[in-house]
Order: sequence, then C-alpha cells, then structure tokens
Amino acid sequence: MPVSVRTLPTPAGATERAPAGPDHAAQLRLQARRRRRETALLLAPALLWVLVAVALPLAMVVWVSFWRADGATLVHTFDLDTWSGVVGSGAFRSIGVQTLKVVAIVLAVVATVGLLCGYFLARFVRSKRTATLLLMLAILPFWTSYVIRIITWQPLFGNRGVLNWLLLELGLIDQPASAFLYNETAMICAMASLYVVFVIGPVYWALSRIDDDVIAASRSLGASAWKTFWKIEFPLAKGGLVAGCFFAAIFLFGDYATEQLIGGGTNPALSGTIRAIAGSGQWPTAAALSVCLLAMTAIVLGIFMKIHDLRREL
Amino acid sequence: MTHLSYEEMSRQRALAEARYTRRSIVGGGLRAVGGLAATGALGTLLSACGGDSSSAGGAADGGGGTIREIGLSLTEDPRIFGPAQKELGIKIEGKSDNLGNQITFWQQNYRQFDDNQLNFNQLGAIQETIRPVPVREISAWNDQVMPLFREPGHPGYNERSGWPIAGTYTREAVQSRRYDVFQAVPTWFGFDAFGYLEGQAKGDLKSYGAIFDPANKGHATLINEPITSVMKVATYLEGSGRAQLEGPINNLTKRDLAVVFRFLGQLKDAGQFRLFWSDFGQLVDLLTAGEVWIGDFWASAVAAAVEGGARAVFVNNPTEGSNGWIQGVAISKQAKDYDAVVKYIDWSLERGVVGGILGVQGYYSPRPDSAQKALEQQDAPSGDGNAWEYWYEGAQPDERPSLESRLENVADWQAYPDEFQEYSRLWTEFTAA
Repeated sequence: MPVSVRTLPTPAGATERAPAGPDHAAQLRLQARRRRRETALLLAPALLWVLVAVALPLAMVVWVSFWRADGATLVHTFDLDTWSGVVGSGAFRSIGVQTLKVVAIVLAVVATVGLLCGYFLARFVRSKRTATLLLMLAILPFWTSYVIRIITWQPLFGNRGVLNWLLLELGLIDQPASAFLYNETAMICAMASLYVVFVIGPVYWALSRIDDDVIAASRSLGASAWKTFWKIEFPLAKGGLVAGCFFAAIFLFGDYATEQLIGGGTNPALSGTIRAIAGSGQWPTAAALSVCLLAMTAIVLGIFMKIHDLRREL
Repeated sequence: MTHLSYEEMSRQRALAEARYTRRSIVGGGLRAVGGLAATGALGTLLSACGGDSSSAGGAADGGGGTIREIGLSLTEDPRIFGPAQKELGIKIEGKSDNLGNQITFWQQNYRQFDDNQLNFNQLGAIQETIRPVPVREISAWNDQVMPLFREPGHPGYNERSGWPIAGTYTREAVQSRRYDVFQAVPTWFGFDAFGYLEGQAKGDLKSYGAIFDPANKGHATLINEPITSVMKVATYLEGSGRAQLEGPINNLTKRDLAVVFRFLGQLKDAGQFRLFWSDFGQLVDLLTAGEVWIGDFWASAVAAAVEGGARAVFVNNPTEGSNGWIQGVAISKQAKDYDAVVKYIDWSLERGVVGGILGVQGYYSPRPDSAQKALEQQDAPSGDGNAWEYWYEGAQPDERPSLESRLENVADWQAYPDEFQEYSRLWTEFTAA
C-alpha cells in the first residue's frame, strides 16, 4: 500500500517556532560549521584519491604536452611547438575525424541492437528466470579477457574461419573471402559486439521497471503498440540507453587493440596513434593527442548528459 | 625492434602470465618500492645534488660489482645472466623493454643504470646519455673480431653511410680513422629481409618487389613501425633502380622520404596492404592462418610459423640486399660500476655463451671464434653436421646461406635517422590515409 507524502510524519522540531536571540544564532553558526567540517572530513579520502589518481596524472599529461621532443631527447620546456604541430597536422585531424566517425557508428549500432535486445528481454520473455538467464548469456563473453574476445573473431571470420568454411561448403564462393577481417566494417562489427552488452543491461532494467498497468492503460486508451513504445516506453528507457552508451563511449574512445587486431592497423584511431607515438618516444606529441582525446570524450559524454541527466538515475 | 625467437617469445608469454598472480603483484610492488627507494630515488637525489655517482661499486655483492642494465628480453636471458654472474662474480639486475620504451625509459632514467643493451639503431637517439669506451679497455676486442667491425672497407661495409663503423665508434674516432673509441660495443648482429607463404605469394620471390607486386594485392603487409619499414622500401626502390636516393638508405633525407611515401601511398590506395602487423605472436598467427602472403617478416617468426604448419619461407639474401642490424652494449654516462660492465662485455664477446645461445636463433657474434666453440658442440637443425657449419658456414645454403654471403648481400645497417620525426609523421599520415 503506497503511503501518501502528506501522511508522512513531519520531522521533529520542523514545525517548532525557532526561538530568536543572539545565543541561538551563534549556536546555528556553530552547527553549520560543524556540518561543513564533517562534510569536508567525509569527502577528504575520496577527494584525495581523485587528486592523486586522476587530477595529478592528468596535470602531468597536460604538462608533458608542452615539452618538446628534440630527436629522441625530451626537452623539459614550456612551449607551443608540439601543440602547433598537432593542431596543424592534417593526418591527426583526419585520425580525429575517423575516431569520431567510428565511435558514432558503433554507438548507433549498440544503441539500436541494445534497445531491441533489452526490449525483447523485458517484453517478450515472460519468465524472470529465463530473462535473467539470457542476460547472463549476453554478459558471458565478459567473463573472459578482452583480448580473447577479440581474437575469437579470427577463427570465426578469418581465411580459414567458420564463416568462410560455411560459404565454401555451400558453394557460394570458390576462394576464401578476405572481406570479413582486417577492414573497417569488421572492426565496427567487433566493437559493437564487444560493447553492446553495456546497453542491453540498463535498457532491460529500465524497461522492466515500467508497471504493466501503464502499458495496459496506454493500449486501452487506444494507443498503438508503436505509439505506446514511442511515447511511454522509450522515454522511460532513455536513462538506461544513455547510461549504456555513456559507458560504451568511454571504452570505445580508449580501444586501440580492436583497431590493430581486427582493423589491421590500416584505419588508426586516436588511441592507437597515441600508443604508437608514445612507443616511439615522442611523449609530448602523445600527451597533446591524449589531451585532445580526453576533450573529445568529455564533449561526447557531455552531450549524453544533456540528452539525459544520468545523476537522476543515481 | 625486438628480434625474438619463438622459444623466447613463448618463455616471455609464460613469464608474463605467471607474473600477474595476486601474490606476485604484491611482491613485485613491494620489490619495486624497495628498489626505487634503494636505487632510483637515491640515485636521482645524488644526481640532483650534483654528487659524483660514478664511485666504485660492488660492496653489496661480494666484490665483483653490480650491473644495473636495461635491454631487450633476449639479452636478459637467464641462460646468459646465470653463467655471467657465476663466472664473473658480479650481480646483474636486468630490465627488458620494447624499442620505443627502451629509448624513452633510458632517456629519463639513465642515471640509475650502468648500461643499455640496445639495437644500434637507437644510438643516435641517446648520444647525450652514454659514455664512450676506449677500445683498449675491452680486451676481448682483439684480432679475432671480424674486420667488418674494426675498420672500413670489408665485406658488409657501406661506403655511403659508413656503417657499421659509423655506428660502432665515436664521430671523432671515425674522422681521425683511429677507430679507438666505441660509442657502444657490438656483441651480436643479424640481418632483416622478407618472407612469404609458398604456393600463395606470386611474382619474383627473390625480390622485395614481390611485396609491392599487384599480384599479391590485399595480401601484403609491413610492420607498423617507421624506421625498419621505410628502410625496406628504400632498399627496394634504390636496389631495383626505381629511385635514386640522396641519403644512405638508413638515413633518408626529407626529399627521399617524399619519394618513399609517394610510392607507399599509391600502393595503399590501390589496396595492396591487408594490414600492418605489430608483434611477433600476431605475425605467427597471421602466417599460420594464411591471412597474409608476403611481407617484411622476421626470420624467427617465419621459423615459428613453419613449426605451426605454415609453408613459410624466409628470403635470406634478397636481390636488393638485406638490412643489417647490430646489438651491443652502451655504457651510461653515470655508470656506477664501469669496470663491472667492461668485464661483462669482455665475457659476452669472448666466453661464447652469448654466441652459442643466439647463434642457434640465427644471429651472429662479432667474435665468431668464440661462438664457434659453443656451436660446434651442438647439432645442426637438420641433424646433418654441427650447428656451426649450419648457421655460420652455409652447409645447407638453400636453407641458410653462409655468413660470408650474407655480408656480401647487406644493403645497409639499421640506424636512427636524423629525420626521425619526419619518418614518424609521414608514417602516421600513411597509415591514416
């Protein structure tokens, strides 16, 4: 039986008339100070951790981006050489655009597929147990390491992979096709398969929280299934969808292994470029590119927060 | 660039896997903290205070000395470290890294190390951090050392670049023609070329040209790293007469680089390259799965792919010539125990352990006489004759040509190019195109 807010007991003292006078004001100030001190103390460990593990390393990266690489010697200076090289480089710009393009496509795929799968689990699987089982199956690949998940694409889609074997057996091709691996499409498919689970879970969770009566009310008032979905279910599932995409985007921007192992290194993303450049000893350029990547990620995450304020989900 | 045997890579993998158990992470962390406190931080503090850190060491190890070394995993092999420590009575603390990290790590931390076992193609990048070594102080550097490494003009010497002499000795020692001071001391060397899958790759399979032949379109590959890839392409372009380059092929000018990258760009646009490979294990997988047919494969990866059932072939002496490389020891400007490193270099050259272990992986010693002693006691891979005859003398030239013929075939030696940043910039543009 839901309890009305109006019937809730009033907090003790809230309705009492506050006694006036300088003593009371001083007491209130003291209380406020104590509260602030307590808040600061409670926050201190987390703030300290964020400072040491996040803020300082980030500040270091920004600082290194103002160094200069003189051959392989790192000159600890403060100049804009590295930044002007990075900003002025057509190659880095096109890598940045390529990165955004791939992230956008993969996010579109994972959002669509994730929404469909989540919807299927929430609406078409009646038994909670089966839905949980199916959800666990979707998460199952995450029990293995990331690299193993990527590498399994090779026996599936490689020259001697299952797909080629099948197509050859069916007589649809007479030579193994090399179109399924080491290109952008293969990379996008692999990334989508890796990150779609981030969306399925939250969407399923959001949809399964919608009261069946709400759906029934919509339908009984004459709304079509589509209209019900679009006007009721989708807005209520939006939080889950955005949360899933939010986390998928974080991983996507940082993913450099899929690009190398499935993309073949011929369509580099910013993360892979940073790794290669840092590996050749050019730390300032790698640091400047890292700042760019961080900014891109922050902007995209900011857009997600604009679409749906995830803090409301907490 | 790491040049690893399959066994070495397997060992590395096993070690890497074992390394990350919970207990070892805790232990490793504690050791790292302890080590940092004991060496790194203290060394930094001393250097920062302007203290002379090149005092005699060895107190902690019973008098023989301690060497703090950075190198590739191959040079950090316990089969080498073990006997060296035992026979010399010194302690060796090794840290292995990959090429790029090795340069950068060394640049930042050379004050805390005594030596760097490195590919000489890094020397140009770390000039300011290393201490030149007078030749007379290395007693193993005697008449038994291959003349190639002692003076210009012998088979394998490149007139235009001056390598390997230009890489081995200081600029002054080369200009004065005295060859009496090392930049770094060579302890082993080898040759890079290319490989292919038999029955798949088409065209003239003795030439690098096959990598760029449209008949192999969509099945060719190059390593995703500018110095060695660019040098291979330059070797082909000049060796085949397709281009006349200004600089030596191990140190191209900006104009040369434009020629190389125009050629590569056209090929990439036409879909010549299936992918760019980046590590040993990946290359072996690609070859055994038949994903790539031809490319600048490492000999050791080809050997591993053959073990895995692939019909892979390494071309030892391509028409346009191979790319030689040298590995050796550079001593830190702030080495604490210079004498111990010198003893270790002498041991590496003379004792034959290094020559024996690396010899059966296809690499050579500048002191073949010492490697010979170790290799003659081992069988050839084919079981026909001994390892010395097979690996050095070319007893089966179809499989493994003689060292002599390989020296005659070398196009140039890998070096750190003056225009490295341009190499790197253009390579990034090329891969992103």
